[in-house]
Amino acid sequence: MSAVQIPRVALIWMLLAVAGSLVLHSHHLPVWMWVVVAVIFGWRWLVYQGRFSYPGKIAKAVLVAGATVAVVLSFDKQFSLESASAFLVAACILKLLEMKTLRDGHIVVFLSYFLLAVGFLFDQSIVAGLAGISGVWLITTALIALHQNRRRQFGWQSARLSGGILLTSLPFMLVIYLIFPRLGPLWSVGLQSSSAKTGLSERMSPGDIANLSQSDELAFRVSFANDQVPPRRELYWRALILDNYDGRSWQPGAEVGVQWAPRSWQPPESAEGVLEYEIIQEATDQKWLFALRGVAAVESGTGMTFDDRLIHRRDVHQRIRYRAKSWPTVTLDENGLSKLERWRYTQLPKNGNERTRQWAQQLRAVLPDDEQFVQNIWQQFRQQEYYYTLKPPVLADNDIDAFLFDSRRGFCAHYSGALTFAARAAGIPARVVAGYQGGEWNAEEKYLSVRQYDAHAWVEVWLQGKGWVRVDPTAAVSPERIELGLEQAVQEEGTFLDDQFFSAHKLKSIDWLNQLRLQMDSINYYWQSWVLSYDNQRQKQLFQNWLGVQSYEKILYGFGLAFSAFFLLGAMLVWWNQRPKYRSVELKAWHQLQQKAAALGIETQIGETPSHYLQRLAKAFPKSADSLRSLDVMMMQALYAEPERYNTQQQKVIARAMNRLRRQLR
Amino acid sequence: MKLPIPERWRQRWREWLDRRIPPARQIELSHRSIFIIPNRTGLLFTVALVIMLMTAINYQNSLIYALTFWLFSVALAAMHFTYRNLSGLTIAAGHAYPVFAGDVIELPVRLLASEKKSHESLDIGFPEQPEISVDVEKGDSEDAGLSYRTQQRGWLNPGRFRMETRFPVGMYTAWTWVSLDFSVLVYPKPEWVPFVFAAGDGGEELEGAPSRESGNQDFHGLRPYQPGDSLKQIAWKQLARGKGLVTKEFDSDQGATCWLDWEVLAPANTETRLSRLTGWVLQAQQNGWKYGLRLPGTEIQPANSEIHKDQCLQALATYGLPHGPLSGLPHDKVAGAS
Repeated sequence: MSAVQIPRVALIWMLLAVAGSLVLHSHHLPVWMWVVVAVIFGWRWLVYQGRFSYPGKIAKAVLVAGATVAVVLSFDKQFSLESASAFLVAACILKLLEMKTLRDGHIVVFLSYFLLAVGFLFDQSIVAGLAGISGVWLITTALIALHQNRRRQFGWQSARLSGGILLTSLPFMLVIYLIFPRLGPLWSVGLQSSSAKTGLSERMSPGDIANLSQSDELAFRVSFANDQVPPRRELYWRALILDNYDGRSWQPGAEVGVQWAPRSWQPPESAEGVLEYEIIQEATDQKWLFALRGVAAVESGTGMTFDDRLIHRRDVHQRIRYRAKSWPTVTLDENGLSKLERWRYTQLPKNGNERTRQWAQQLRAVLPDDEQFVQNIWQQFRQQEYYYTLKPPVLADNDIDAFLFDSRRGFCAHYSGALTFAARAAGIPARVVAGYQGGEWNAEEKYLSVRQYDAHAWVEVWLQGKGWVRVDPTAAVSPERIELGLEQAVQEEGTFLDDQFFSAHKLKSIDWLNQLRLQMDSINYYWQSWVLSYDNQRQKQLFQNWLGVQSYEKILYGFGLAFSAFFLLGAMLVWWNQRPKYRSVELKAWHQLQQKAAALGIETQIGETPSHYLQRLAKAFPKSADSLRSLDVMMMQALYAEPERYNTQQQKVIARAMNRLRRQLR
Repeated sequence: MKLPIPERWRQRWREWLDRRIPPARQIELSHRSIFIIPNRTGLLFTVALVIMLMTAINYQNSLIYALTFWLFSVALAAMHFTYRNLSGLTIAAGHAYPVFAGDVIELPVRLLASEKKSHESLDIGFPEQPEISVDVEKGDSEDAGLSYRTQQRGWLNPGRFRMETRFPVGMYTAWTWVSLDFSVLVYPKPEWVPFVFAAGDGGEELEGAPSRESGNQDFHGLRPYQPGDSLKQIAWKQLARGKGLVTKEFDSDQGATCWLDWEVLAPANTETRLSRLTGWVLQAQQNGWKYGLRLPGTEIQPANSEIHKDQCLQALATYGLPHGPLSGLPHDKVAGAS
């Protein structure tokens, strides 16, 4: 069986199927791989046409070894999702090349299915979904073509049949998709994508950046409970605290004290202005999550840190959804800082940026009040010649000095770094907070999209009696950045997304295009919230809303019952269709009489007349002999003597007599 | 591969099959006669699905979940599609000519599709015989010749042949065991021995009987080929020399009369005697003699014709056997008609 050759026409579909499964890998495969794919497809095509031969044993060994070495080298010997899928692709196309028997064909087809699945790890957009559907269709068609008769010509019948099978199985697929329990990962997967995620980073060194690269990639989406949407200027999404300055860059300090979800601090019942929201966050490969000030962890698997941030237990390698609560008006650390904390938030390198230190100390001498001191610097940023730009000059050593007193141009990182440095130099606890600010509100669908270009950094200072207070120096320099967003803030400069040629966000001024973009965005939102983030909780919610059932077990029982009912009905339908059909009542009665007699040992014989049969019965059952004989007479008369009087009435009489007889027979 | 199944169990299996799918001239496949199980490819696919599900769970990827469930549903639907590829197909026995025991016969089978659906990639064959692959378009019919090596003389009872399909996705094997009544007679295997003629009632040779030496085929001469001449007698060398088709004529006693008698083969057993008589019948027919056949309880008067030959061979084939093909089966009973 395994030596069965594959039909010739199947090869065309096989090539299409493998090509279909590679589409989703187009972004991350190295270019040379595509060349190899093209060469092997060409080779296989020539073999198909009989103009070239299959690779020999040596050629195969060389190809396998070459592909392995090439993959290892081109991914810098890293074992990542990309290199693993490149291996898979290589395996699949090499198998395609040497494929001869049906068994080889099956392996190629199943590998293609798997490649298609792996492709979804890189891309889960709607377009990827559509590519997946066409891929499944092509691969299934190839599978069918493999089993077609060898004599068949190339045609669409296998494609049509595979479409039919796929459509037939769609409803059942939807049911399983909805009810299959969504488990947490069974084990932690070591294999992760090695591609860098844009946006927020754990290191902020403004002096090194000459051009802040922007991206309109989505960072996360938020929907608020009860439509309580805070104004834009309050939307400071906190992700990281950068409290460790080494003279050049700001970095997060050590993580201490996390309260995990069910046991996390919660705002008191009496608290006013508590916000509840749900976030769908894109993969960051980091633990941090995004939340507003005064956060409380609610979703299991999330926790809140001592410095008022939300984090996840594991690195976020896939898009996730979580709920959180925030009480933005809460006073944080109002009772004062511990010695350690005070040291932590006022530490600076021993030297460097001397001008700033001196300036801060001079100012401190005049303004002993912490709040006034910070306020003063903020005012200076606002009133003096400071500019907001995405193309700041590169700064040498002592970059804070250079920025504050010479260049005076920068973006949020420069301003927040400088303010924090000055505050610490004056002995005021301060920290840089990194995250996102603002977002685009979709008024129709009521959600907020926060994109990578909304990334922001601001400052928090600790004030006696007020706790940690947010100070955003960028707002002093460029209020538009906070009130309206980055696009407006850099309008004059013209640097908004200037390294992105094809961003739809640049076309916001064309009204209908912008409408279209927002429409697409909301379709994407639904795709993400209903398809991609369909998880345990969504599942529960769905059962509750649609079916009014709370527990998962009840759902399973319900579906079990529904399925058994379905199969029972199906079986009954089959039985009903297969039941013997009689043209009239007396034929049915006659048949039943024969069955009864057969059960008692008197079988009907071939070529026997009814009369003869009844006489035999009369001999075998002397007790009923008389009624058998009278039935015989009755039948003879009805059928032969008076056929014109033989009507339904007569038929019923005879049938009744037969039934009576049948019950008598013992 | 082949497990030593006790004969008792095989017997039970055959009996069960006979009840479930009774032998007939014609049979329409339905749920009663179709068996279906997932095969090795199906298991391989299951393994692939499990790996995909693990990937979906570990990466919490909804699209992989969706793909996995879709393929799982496809695998379930495929069971129905594979079953459907056999169900509704009608298989009927065609007409076959008699053969000699030991010959390979091509048993004609006609496959009829209903108006509703086509049947693709059906593999048909007797066990341990080459299989053939057939497609039947909807509303159409297709003829297939199934190879079968005959073993015994008598009415042919080839047993069940297997019809199998894995179409469309190859994950399931659906099959049926069909027993068709072909009504084919298998003549005894001819054995070529010199003639021994029965003596007359008085022990003397019959008048006009061929001499014992004749039939040894002394070369007599050449004559033009006539249709019906044996291929063995064609003068191939003459043909090769470009002299056309010419038949070699041997010494024969045209019009001689003889009796081929069971009794003269006395010490040999029944089957050997039948084989030798078969050989004689064929030779006598070939030689153009008038020959009669005497078997215990049967006597066929001397004659020479194709019909006479068939009559003699039939008598030899069915000697000592119950009448009718497939003992116990009424000849014209058609499944589904009752």
